[in-house]
Amino acid sequence: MVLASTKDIYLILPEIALLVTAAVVVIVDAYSRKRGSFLNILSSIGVIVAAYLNFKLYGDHGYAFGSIIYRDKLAYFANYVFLFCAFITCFYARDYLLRENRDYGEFYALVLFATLSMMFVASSASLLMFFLSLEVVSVCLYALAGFVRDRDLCVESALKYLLVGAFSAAFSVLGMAMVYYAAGSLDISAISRADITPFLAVGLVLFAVSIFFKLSAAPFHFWAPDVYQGAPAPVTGFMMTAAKAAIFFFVVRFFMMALGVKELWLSVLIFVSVVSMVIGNFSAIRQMDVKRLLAYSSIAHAGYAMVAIASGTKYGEVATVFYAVAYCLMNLGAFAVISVLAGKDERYVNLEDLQGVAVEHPVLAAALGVFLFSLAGMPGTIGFISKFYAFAAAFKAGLYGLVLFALINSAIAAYYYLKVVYYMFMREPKKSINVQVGVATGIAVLLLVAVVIQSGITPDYLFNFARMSLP
Amino acid sequence: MEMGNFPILSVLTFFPLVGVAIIAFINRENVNVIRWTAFVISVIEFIISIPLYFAFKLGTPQFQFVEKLPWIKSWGAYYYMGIDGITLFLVLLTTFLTMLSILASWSINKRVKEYMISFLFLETTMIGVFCALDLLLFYLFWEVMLIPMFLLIGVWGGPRRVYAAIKFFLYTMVGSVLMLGAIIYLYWMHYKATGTLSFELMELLKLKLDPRVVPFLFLAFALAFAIKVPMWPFHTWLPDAHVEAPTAGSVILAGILLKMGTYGFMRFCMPFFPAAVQKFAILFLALAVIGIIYGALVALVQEDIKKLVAYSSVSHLGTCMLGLFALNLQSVSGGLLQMINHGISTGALFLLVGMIYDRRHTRLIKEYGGIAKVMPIYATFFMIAVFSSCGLPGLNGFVGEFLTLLGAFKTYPLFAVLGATATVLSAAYLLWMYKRVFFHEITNPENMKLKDLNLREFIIMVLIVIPMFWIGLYPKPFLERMQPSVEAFIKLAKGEKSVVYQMEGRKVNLASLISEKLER
Repeated sequence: MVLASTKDIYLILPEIALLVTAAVVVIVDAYSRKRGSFLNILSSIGVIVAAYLNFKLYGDHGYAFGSIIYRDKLAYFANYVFLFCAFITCFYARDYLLRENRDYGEFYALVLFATLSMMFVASSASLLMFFLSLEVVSVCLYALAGFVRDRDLCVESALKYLLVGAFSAAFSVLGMAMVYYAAGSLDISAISRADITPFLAVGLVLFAVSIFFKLSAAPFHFWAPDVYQGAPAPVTGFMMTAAKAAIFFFVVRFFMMALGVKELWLSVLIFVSVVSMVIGNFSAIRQMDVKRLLAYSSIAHAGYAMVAIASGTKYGEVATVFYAVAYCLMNLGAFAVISVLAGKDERYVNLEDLQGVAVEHPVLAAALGVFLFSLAGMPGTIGFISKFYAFAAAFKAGLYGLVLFALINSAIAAYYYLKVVYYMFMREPKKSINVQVGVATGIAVLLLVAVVIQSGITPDYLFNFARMSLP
Repeated sequence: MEMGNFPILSVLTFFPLVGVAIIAFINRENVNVIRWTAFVISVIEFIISIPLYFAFKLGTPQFQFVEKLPWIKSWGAYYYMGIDGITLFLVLLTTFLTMLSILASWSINKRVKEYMISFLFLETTMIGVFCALDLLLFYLFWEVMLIPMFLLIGVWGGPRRVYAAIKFFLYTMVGSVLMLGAIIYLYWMHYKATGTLSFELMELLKLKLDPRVVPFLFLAFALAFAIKVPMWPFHTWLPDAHVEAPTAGSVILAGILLKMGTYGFMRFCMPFFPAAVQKFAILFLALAVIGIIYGALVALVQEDIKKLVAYSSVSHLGTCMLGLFALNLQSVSGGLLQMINHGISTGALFLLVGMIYDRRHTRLIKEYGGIAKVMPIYATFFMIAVFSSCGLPGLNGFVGEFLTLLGAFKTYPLFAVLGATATVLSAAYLLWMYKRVFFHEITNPENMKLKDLNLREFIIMVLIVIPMFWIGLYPKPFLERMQPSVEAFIKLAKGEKSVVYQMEGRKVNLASLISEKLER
């Protein structure tokens, strides 16, 4: 077999652009170790170049490197999502890193490496490729989670993430081994053609467990609150959004498009979805730490997305993809605001510390309010559009009970999002929290607010883009 | 008067947002500038809404001032606005009460900028709810409305404001999500029947539904609206929200937001599911009557004037529901008119309670007594509002209540008789309260120093008293504008779906009612 043809290289140009950027960032950082250099701009430019290449390639289908990478519209669409998350994260993280005296180029390089591996995750045509790229993503995220290494919570977060990552990788590998034995191949197309034997089914379930782990879906969610609470806010924002979106895209590609949602899957999915919603929502109600609260909310959101996945139809595929996008936008925004409000060393992440913050920082508080209302599924925001479509898709597939359950759950969930709004807007400020909003963070937050509201009121463009990207 | 193609409803809906934008750029220290800007915006808004009344075509159930633009094309959702005889006065009431409420908010000193922004934003969403003829658009306004109201109660309310605000929000949210489920069901059923995606009211009204699911859908919609009305077992959020909300918040809550519940019944719940209306009519009539009597009895023993007025709302809205479910021309017209009346008279009572609260910072009846002597003008206006609320002939309350009971008596005499106790009981609790607050000697020395109404308050009261006399003495312009739409509503709620075509302004075509894939 030829090692790589021009076509192969051509199809992964966006990834190469990111790789080059990451390398340049590290080199520039090594030669000019002076504080406050604008590496965020440099990496953002790299991301934009990658996005441009992605744009040029959009519509160029085909396998690359034998049959381990498959590029289709879904892959390119997914690339846009990851690139957007990376762009926002790199762009505003500089403010945070400067404040924490951690303005090292590694941060940007790690984010870029993670992003390019996510791009491979979303376009992998073989379970092996999926596993390898996911491990690269995870390794980058372990390092990022512990980036502020003298903060205990951070280190704890990184360690926990590492242990759980290893644990879920074990499931993954075992499952893949059984699948390989049963189907004779790890290629997705071959697996989808194989007869379902008990051996294959068990292998797939084990593999699915590792996916549930990564999606922090209950009952495989135990790591999520600690990890998301401990990691630095911009990192949490990034790993909660882009990394999960990558898995969602793969789920659409593998479980929905190739395998199809059948009886056994359906009951597994409904179970996981219901449990995630219940555990996520009811645990979030009691949380007083904003980051922890959002971590539980993300468990519940995995449950909502699972409602769309369970429908197993074309509508469901679109709904899942759109849900992933909406979820990324809302959470990125929320964590961007939190990264500012938390102050130095992230001291003010408790709701009691944030009380009355709207008096001093009305715009920041209002922005966080928009993201929270969007997470709660308030019409006029992208959160509603995505939830509506996810539920509508499941409804059409006849999952009435599940949709009813999800609807009631989203009403319950409104409570804890409101609780944050209540602390920010309706309490008198106890002490003045002295935080400064960096220019980059301000731009990123306003951009996300605009996108969340715009896509909530006129979702046509984004929605059609997502729909066109699915075959 | 010709309106041409002027998109008056969109202008009405979004003009307050212009005010929001302007206020956002005013320095928060310039409190007076902010107040005046908000007030001027709301006055202009009211003036823009007046032509609706004059340009409204009589004698047709058609939707008027219709605007229809594609909104979310891939979902078949339209930006579809229009009003008929049912919503015309609700829209006018909204612009009118918002204007007065802003004028009554001069006593707000805390975070005035955010207050006025919330208030104007609230106005946008309220008008949107009444004008939207596309279910998705309606749901958008319906839900978004919660945010400014939540903030108004929670930030500027009384001591237990947070509890009240969260209770209000969650109660409404629970109702709405079930309604959303029902909307999704209708949406897919329509798609199944016709192959086109649509959230349009008119299209969905033509659907023939599976009789087994109709009761569930009806109850899903009814729960959302019954919470908002509020009907009897779902009313518990109301006293909390009313008592804790700032004066202007209570006025809007009682005057407009509660009407959205009854409006929802008229526009969506009952026309969509006529079969279920028949089935559940007795249940809802009974709940309405329980609400009437329960609200009145509880109001009788209240010590807090504002709470008394709040419970009187439960009672009055029960009358509206009685009228709607009795389903004849008199009762429904009466119920609809009673919605407007309640907005005006209860609005006036809340405004008056707010004025005395600003002076004494208490609303307990026992703190007062004999204040008619020191505040004669205030006492006069209070008297008019009380009479209007308890239905004295010559004032608005009488016309609405009388028509409702008259109509209800024709179809359900027992419920009408029970409902008629409301007139007696409301006179009892209101006049007894009036007696204890205004007559006798002044026992509390603090009341000696009370100042009578100032010019601003006087203007507010004069403005709100005008429609009381107008409707009371000459209700014809109101009733004749409502009548065709009310008739159409009754036919729909009785299952005559062909009326939809009249409402659309198309020729009646019975064969093309959506039961099979005949149309398109």
